[in-house]
Amino acid sequence: MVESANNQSIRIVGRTAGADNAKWLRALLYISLLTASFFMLAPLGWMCCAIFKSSADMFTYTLLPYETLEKIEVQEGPEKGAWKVIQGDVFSIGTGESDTIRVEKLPANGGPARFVRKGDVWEIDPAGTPKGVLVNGRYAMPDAKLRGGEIIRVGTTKIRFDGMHVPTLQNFRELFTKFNFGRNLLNSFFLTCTATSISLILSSLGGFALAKYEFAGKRVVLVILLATMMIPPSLLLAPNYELLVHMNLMNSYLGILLPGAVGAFGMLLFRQAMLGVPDDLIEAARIDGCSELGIYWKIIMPVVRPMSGAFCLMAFMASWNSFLMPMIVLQSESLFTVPIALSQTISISGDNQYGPLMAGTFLGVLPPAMLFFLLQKEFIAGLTAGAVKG
Amino acid sequence: MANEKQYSAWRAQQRMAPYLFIAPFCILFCVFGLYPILKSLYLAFHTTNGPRSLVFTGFDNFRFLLQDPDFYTALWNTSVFAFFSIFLQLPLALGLALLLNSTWLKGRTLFRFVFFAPNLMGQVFVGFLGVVIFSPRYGLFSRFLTAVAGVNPDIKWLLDERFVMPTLVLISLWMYVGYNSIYFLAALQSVDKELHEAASVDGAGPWDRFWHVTVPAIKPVILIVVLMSTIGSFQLFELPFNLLKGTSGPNKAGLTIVMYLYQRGFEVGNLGYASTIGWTLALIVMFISLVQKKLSERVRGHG
Repeated sequence: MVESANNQSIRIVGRTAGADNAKWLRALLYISLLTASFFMLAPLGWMCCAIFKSSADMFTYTLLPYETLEKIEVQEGPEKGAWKVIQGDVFSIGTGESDTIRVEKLPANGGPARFVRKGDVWEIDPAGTPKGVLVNGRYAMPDAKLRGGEIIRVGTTKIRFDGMHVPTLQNFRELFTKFNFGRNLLNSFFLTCTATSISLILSSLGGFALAKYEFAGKRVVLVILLATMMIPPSLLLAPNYELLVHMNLMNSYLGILLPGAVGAFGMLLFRQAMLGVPDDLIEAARIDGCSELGIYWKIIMPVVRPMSGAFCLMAFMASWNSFLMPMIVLQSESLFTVPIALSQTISISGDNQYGPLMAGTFLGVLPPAMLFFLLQKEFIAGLTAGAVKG
Repeated sequence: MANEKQYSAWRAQQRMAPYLFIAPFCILFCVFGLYPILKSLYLAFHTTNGPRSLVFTGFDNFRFLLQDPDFYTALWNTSVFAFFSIFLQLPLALGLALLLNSTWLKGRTLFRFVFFAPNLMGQVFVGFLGVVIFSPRYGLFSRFLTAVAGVNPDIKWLLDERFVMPTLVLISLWMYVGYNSIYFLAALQSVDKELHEAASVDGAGPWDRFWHVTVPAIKPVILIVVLMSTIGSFQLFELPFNLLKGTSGPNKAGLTIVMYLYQRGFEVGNLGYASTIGWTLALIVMFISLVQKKLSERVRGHG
């Protein structure tokens, strides 16, 4: 009786200690995962801010720029000199120290004071009534119309405003006007969609033949496919380049598409998936008079559809990000894809082009990321299918 | 009669189908896969100046390669990178997968997505981002290290030969740790839970269970991931090429084998020597794959 009571109490103590332990472990788990997540996302988050920073602001602000006004430099006139201003200050230019001298423009009809705009000329009344601009941080300068470093003249007083660091779409504007990036995006889309379609058709047809038919040379094909998986793709660069020169396919998309279509991986992936389709299904369709191509299209492809989705995403990403072969094959800028344009023109167009480079990188990452977001489940299933089963 | 004709046509399409299905791939494969492999072997014994001039030079390319200090630099850099990919990145990826596999973790899919996110960028784009983030003093990385650990903000991560390789290793860790942990996580999720419970009942602690239940169960996946990482590491090109703005970095600290192949073949124009480098790379990769295969067989035999 006593013994059993003892036992029970011990068990209870043990359980609470265990629960306590588990709580700590759980906290530790979440802390470590969240810390790791922070490091994973920080560079991406930084990039999402960087695209809105002008090249000059790229390193001045860690996240988004926020200051509208830092400094006012009066270049001529009685208040000559630099004045540091922070948001909310009322900056005064005037005649005496005792006044709250606001430089303010009063319209002739006595309406409310206007905001400063670039190119405005302000007069200071010679009679001594202080007039001018009310400069109090954000308010005085709406939009990004007046940029840092620009000079306005207040009567005889020339004022230089420093600051005006606000988020801007200037990088994108520059990207699409100066660098013709829209063309690059279109090129990339065209090339990637074509390459993905070709890969899908060739790999699934070939995989079907290898999975569901007996034919002369099947073993040879399989062995060669497996063997070439071991060959590093860079080995093919030099001979393929030579071949393309002789075939007159340099500086053309065919020169990228044709060599890019021979990956054995997709074919083996489709073969693996199609092996699982029951033969009875195919036989039944055949008895009903379905042609072989019909079987492929109406029976096999619908069954392996999730795999096709994953494969398309992988092929899309591989083609979208492909770099070495397009860099070798493409020579004229009008044919450049996104990675090539960023690497060959934008990133080397001057030291101070980080703004457009970041904006282009962001736009270049967006399509695969969005596709991944849509197809996440299929993609991870497809990615791990081969590894876990094999 | 007509019916019979139809039937024989139907039989014919059935017989011909597999050949027709695989023919497009096979033709392309012969032209742009098989032929180039053989051609590169042929080229490896020639010296070229651009694609149209070719001189037979026998084993000269290979002899030159063996005494080529730049090739050894590239080989060393690539090997160091591969070493850290396997012995630093993969254990971390496994650890991450173990964390993600905890039974009471909420939001597993979200975490998995977060860790996979850097991989969506692709090496080219990561290279561009890296140029800005690893700028000295004002770059995000320098700012962070200075703020947290007081590290000298003027370290030139990409222009100082001592720091180029660590930076590359760090970036690839960021890019691929989540990617690899997805493989490990899938493997962990297929481990039989009853085995764990049985081991628990027998008094095995968490560490024992990890070594004697989990590791043997996911060993095939570990071997595949190690193999893929090794092969992938030896192909390293796009990341350093764009990170170092098309150069091989200070004192060639970022020169990799494929980058050297590209420089020799397409900047200098010696496709023959490029092919020699390509075949050497292929042999290295095949050798490593074979060694790993043998090792895995031995490990499996003992287990």
